[in-house]
Amino acid sequence: MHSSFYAISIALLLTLPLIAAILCFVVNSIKVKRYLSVLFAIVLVFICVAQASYVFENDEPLQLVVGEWLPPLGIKLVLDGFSSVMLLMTSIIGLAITFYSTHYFESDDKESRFWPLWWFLITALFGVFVSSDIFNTYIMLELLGLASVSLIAIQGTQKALQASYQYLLVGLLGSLFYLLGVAIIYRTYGVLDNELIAQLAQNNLSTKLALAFITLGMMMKCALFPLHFWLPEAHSNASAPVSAILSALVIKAAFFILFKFWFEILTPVVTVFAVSLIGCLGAAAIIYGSYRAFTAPRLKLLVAYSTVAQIGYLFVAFPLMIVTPEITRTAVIYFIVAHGCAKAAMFLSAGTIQKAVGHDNLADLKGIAVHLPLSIFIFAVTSTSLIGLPPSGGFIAKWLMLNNAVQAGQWWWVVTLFIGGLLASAYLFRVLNLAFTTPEQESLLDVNYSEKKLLGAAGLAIITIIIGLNAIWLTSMIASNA
Amino acid sequence: MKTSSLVSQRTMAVVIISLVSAIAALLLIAFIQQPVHDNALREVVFANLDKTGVSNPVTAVLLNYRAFDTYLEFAVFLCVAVAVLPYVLDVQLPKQKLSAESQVLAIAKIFVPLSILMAGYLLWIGSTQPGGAFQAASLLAGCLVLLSLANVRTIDFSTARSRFLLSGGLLAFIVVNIVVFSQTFCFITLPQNIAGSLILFIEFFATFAVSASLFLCFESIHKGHL
Amino acid sequence: MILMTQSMLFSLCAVILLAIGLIGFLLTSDFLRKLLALNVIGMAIFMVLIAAANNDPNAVDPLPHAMVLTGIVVAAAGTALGLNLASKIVKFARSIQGENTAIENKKSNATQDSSSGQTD
Repeated sequence: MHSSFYAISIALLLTLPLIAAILCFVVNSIKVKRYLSVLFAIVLVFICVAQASYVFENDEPLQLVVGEWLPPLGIKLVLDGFSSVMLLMTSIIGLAITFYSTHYFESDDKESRFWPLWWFLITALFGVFVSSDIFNTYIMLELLGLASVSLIAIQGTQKALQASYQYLLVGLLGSLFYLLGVAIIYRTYGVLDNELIAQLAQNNLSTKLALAFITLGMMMKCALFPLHFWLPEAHSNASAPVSAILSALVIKAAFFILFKFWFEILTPVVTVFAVSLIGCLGAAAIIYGSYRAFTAPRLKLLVAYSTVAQIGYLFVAFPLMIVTPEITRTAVIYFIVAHGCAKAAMFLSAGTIQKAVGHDNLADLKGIAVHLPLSIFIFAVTSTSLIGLPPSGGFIAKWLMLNNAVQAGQWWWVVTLFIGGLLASAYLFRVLNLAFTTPEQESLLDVNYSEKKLLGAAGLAIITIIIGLNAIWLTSMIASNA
Repeated sequence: MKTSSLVSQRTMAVVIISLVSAIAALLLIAFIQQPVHDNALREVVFANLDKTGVSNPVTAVLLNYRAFDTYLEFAVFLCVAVAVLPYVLDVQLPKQKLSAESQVLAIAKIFVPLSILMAGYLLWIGSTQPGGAFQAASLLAGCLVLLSLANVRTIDFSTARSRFLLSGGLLAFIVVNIVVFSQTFCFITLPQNIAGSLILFIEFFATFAVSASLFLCFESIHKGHL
Repeated sequence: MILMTQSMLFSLCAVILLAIGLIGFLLTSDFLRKLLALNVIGMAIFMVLIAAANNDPNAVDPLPHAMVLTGIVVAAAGTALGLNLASKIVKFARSIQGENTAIENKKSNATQDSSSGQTD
């Protein structure tokens, strides 16, 4: 199959989910929506696997010039190693959550609102990861933000509505700051394509301000401390499939854009002081997020604060990128994959627990392990990945970053990474401890809940172990290409 | 207690105002120091203008050179319409009594036909002069809002037909993409001879879709807040 | 002294508008006013783009015009979603308040009855 066929598959990635969205919107029957969604999800996984195998075998990025108008006139879509890993992750996690959602919603009304918005979210995620044009990325970001807000608001409770409104305000402000950065870049350089800007970029005040505004906007969107205040409410009050995709992928989309701008597009502007500042914010996020997770009264709130803490790890990698770019890049990609799969599976199992018991107050969840064994098993396996215990993928990611920091001689980041692992184990063992202690009274929980829809989540949890066991194969593949 | 929180509120306000002013000053210095880019792109736009099928450069950029952006913009609008639709359906529609000759109805009787004509003109003239789908759509949406304020029932959002109307713009664009792909095997590459008519086809359906979505957003607040 | 062309004047106004919008967003606590402030910030950014397009009034750059058209539509969509959510929140708050006052009325009636019963 020659490369133009694979290039057209990028176009399929951006058309098929929209067709699915329109079909799910227009059709009345809920069964048709479910079957259609599962079908489209499986097809998209096949497309992403084919693309990833092409990119990694041939060691060159896939490019699609939309409309045959070359930049700077038109838009180019590029699929390099980093993008193909993110696309693969999106489609596989999307498939797992799609399976889960077919049995999750208690009312058909909520479910029929869920499906079209879900497909818009998937389109936006695909778009962010392939777009090589800064204004096109803005529109994808807006679609991502609006779809996420609408998905949270489906819940209909007062807290969910308020959380989604707050997320909307913060998200719109973040997108507007990003647009201001785009406007300054266009005013200075006159082009909108990533590669052209990378060639033309110089270290002047305008470019510095553009990067500052873009960073501020993306920090809001990926909830880096201290701009994380919207995340715990939004992720804990949404329904479980929505929380899963938000924590696993939507946050990472904002990080992906930020990473590209700092280390591929506007590289002449990056200074040691700036990356160290970002690294310090990441360290603060780890410590603050872990502390709040440890004292959280509810399970989903704990998992949401855990996301705040884990995002800090990704930003601690920024100062390491200055010193050892290739290894840190591999570590970052590994961490994103491990954390994405783990967090999605964790939210899905937390959702099952909440539906089975009726609430998610940690104090009342004693002894749950007897009644919901699969959920607690998934929770335990993903906890090992988040803490960084072998043989999980999280261990490999943290080991790569620690190794990197030690080689670079930056001992304060080493200490931070260690402390982060300890804190994560503290709050995650808290949950497992409660789940396994036998309650004093006779079981108040009358739990008779089938857990078959967690098969997808179990698959994700197993993936986090597999990428831990096959580390050498995966890291060499990513390192040679990304 | 009260005074201390007031003082801290004042200091917070002063800190924020000074920070924002500093950022604005920096931005201003950057704008003064840095000249605007040389206008190289403009020549390329005008050089290829005859291949696009329209002669208005802004329409060419929107619907040919960077048609992908417009494709996603339709998706954004449809996403918001999908999110807002249940809020309209939740509301029990009150019994509409057409009160005899309310003022708004009188105005509507004069303005709506003229506006529809104007919207059609804006849609058609978009290929040569400033105009196009969004301008026509906002005018049509204004008509629908005026009629709704006059208590005239216009679009019933509970039918499947109205959902087709809302997704019309994106659907038309996808149809064009598929048709064009079967001819040229490229993504959104409009062939030169039919480019103008394809653009008009997309804009036609998009006008109705965008105006229906705008009207939906208005209606859900107007009716829902009674 | 800077040369005050039309483009420079627009850029100056855009920066002032941006500052006003940002201060408004950060200082107000009313959630609807925050949405309005976001619209002001959006308009300021569009002004920056238009000013960049109009640098040479004889050779106007069409690309920022298309960007601003797209941006206005996207901003309008976001504002529409925000207003709908705000309307739902207020409706919810009103209905909860209505329930609370109904419960309080019942309680005060009950205490009134019991106190009147005692005095009898």
